[in-house]
Amino acid sequence: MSDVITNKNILIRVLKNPMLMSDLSVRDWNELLREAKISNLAGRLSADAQDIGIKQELPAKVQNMFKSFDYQSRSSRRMITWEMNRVKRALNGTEDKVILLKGAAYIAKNLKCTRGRVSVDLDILIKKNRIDFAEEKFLAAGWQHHVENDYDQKFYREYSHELPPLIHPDRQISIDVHHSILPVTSRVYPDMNKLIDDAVPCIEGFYTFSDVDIILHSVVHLFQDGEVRSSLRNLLEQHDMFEEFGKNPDFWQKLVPRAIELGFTRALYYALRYSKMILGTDIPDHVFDAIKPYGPNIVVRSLMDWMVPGVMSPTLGATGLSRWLSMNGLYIRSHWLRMPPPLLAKHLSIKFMRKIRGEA
Amino acid sequence: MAAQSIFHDPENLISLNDQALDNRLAGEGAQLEIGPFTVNISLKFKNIREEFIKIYGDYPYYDAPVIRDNYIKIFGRNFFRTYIRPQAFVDVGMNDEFIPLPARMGMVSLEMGLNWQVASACKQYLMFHAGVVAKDGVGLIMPAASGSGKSTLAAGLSYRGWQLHSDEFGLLDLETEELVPYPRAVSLKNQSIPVMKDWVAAEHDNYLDYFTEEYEGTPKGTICYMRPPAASIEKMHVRTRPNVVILPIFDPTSKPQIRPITKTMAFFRTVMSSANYGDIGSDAFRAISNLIYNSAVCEIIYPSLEEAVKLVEKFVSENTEPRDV
Repeated sequence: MSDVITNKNILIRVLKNPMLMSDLSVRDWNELLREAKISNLAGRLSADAQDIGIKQELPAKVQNMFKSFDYQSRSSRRMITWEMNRVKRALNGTEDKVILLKGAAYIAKNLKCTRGRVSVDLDILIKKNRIDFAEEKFLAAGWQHHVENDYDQKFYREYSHELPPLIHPDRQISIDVHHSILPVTSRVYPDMNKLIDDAVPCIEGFYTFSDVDIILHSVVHLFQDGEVRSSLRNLLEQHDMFEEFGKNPDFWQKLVPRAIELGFTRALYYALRYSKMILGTDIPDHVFDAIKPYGPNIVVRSLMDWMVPGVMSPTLGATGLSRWLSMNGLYIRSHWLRMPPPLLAKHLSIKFMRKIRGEA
Repeated sequence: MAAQSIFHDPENLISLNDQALDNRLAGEGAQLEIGPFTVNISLKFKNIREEFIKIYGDYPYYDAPVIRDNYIKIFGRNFFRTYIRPQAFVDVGMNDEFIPLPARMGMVSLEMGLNWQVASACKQYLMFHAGVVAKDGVGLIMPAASGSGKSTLAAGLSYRGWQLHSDEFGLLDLETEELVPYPRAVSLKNQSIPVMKDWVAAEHDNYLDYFTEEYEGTPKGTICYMRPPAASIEKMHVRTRPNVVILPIFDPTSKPQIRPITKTMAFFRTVMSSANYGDIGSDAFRAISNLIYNSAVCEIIYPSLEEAVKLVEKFVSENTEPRDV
């Protein structure tokens, strides 16, 4: 396994073992803080130091900076929580399951991975046939469309899995209203009814997916739909959830069968593999055995092993040509999985023409 | 001897001559101390280094590496952007893309980068968009929108015996409720440039040494940077509790006047001026409540810098008791 790159990285070493913070050189601190800010994990370091009780022993300068990160993450959590309250009010009286996704779900369930976390927008999901109803309610409650360009509006509505983002002018937080967790054009397209049927009530007015589905959503978002570049934070949240949900043996029994049922096996394979490889996640052997048949062939696997760890953080490991190849290889891969080739060609050429005409 | 940084070993502080500073800026960077923040600055363009040294040459620097709040690096991204049509690309280490400016305006990029780092990331101090100065134990906050002349007023006071905390970033320590000086270069725009040049010329024969060149055609019009007075740099760690809040209004056609306002109004105007009030939350509410409760407050309307300074000094002397410092 290509453990060489990530094991040298100071941020990853500290995330795996926060106690290291009690004895770092000045040079290490500067490197660690730089990496953490770029990966949006500065607040996490502070939360980790707090948890293991070493905060008061850290250098005065670090304690002062951590104070700033703490205010920032508390503020983010407060804003998201308040936005949920506004969403509940806007959709008041609906019989539909309104499901919180991603950061909002983690906050509502008070998961470990929300410690020190900064979220900037709110994602919710509602059944596809009720999406127009939701849009109407949000517009009536004062939210506005953020994307004005006709092509972008049309693209969202026809091909994507969410409404064009809405923003309330008083609060400036974007809400993304989804009807699916993957674009309708994706290679793998899950039966959303299965996920919605299994969703469970959490805080008043909202549901979340089941634990297994929450993690599978994060996993497909990272390894199927999203970009692997600069996604250390997402891998870390999966690591946290594997460890938190995994305390319940039932979770490990359900995980792989559910991935098979929804068609997310490849993404889950990568998540388990890289979570363990990079962050040392404790995953039972029987889970690896069960997911192994769904892995890629050895050529693709070696390629991914070479590309993924090197680009998790913008400053990590790979440099020069190998970095460029990894970054672009993974970018093309994510688009390739997202839409069929003719649509991809059309989409990228429209984006390209707009870029050379100097439009947004 | 002025107070020292509470964060780093003062033995590690050095003053650098121009050549030594230039070498550091061109290489690994120079660790500049401004008030509570330490920034590592590296500048790959000779002309930007020259302008920088003119303003920041007399500031304290750390010799051996220290833990720093930020780093900023200005460089040309490739051969063409370094030598043929030089463009100052700014790396502030925060995932934020800056629109690069031509290298001749590199000092503007640097100051904008430093502003951005503080404005977007500083939450450990309550921050006011305000001019802040101090004298004889009086801590004066002047919250105002851009264009109200608060920068000019703070800078003007600083060359008439006041300690400059900042011309636009007032910082308050939430635990001690003291104002924390952050004396950066003063950013002068458009018509305030000749005003300040005349103002400094009245005190110093070599007044031009205090100013950078004038950068025309920036996103904010013509900009010129001015060095704070030596005494303000010397006292960058001397904190003061705030006890006066003045809302300045520049109106060239008005008669100079002091207008009373209620504490409630002063509270709201101070909240409005705070860039991180919402992020800090209840601690910020408490701090501003205490601050206004303990302060004399008013509005001043002034037609010129000379008149503004008179109004400020009049209001302060009539509403504060001298304090020991």
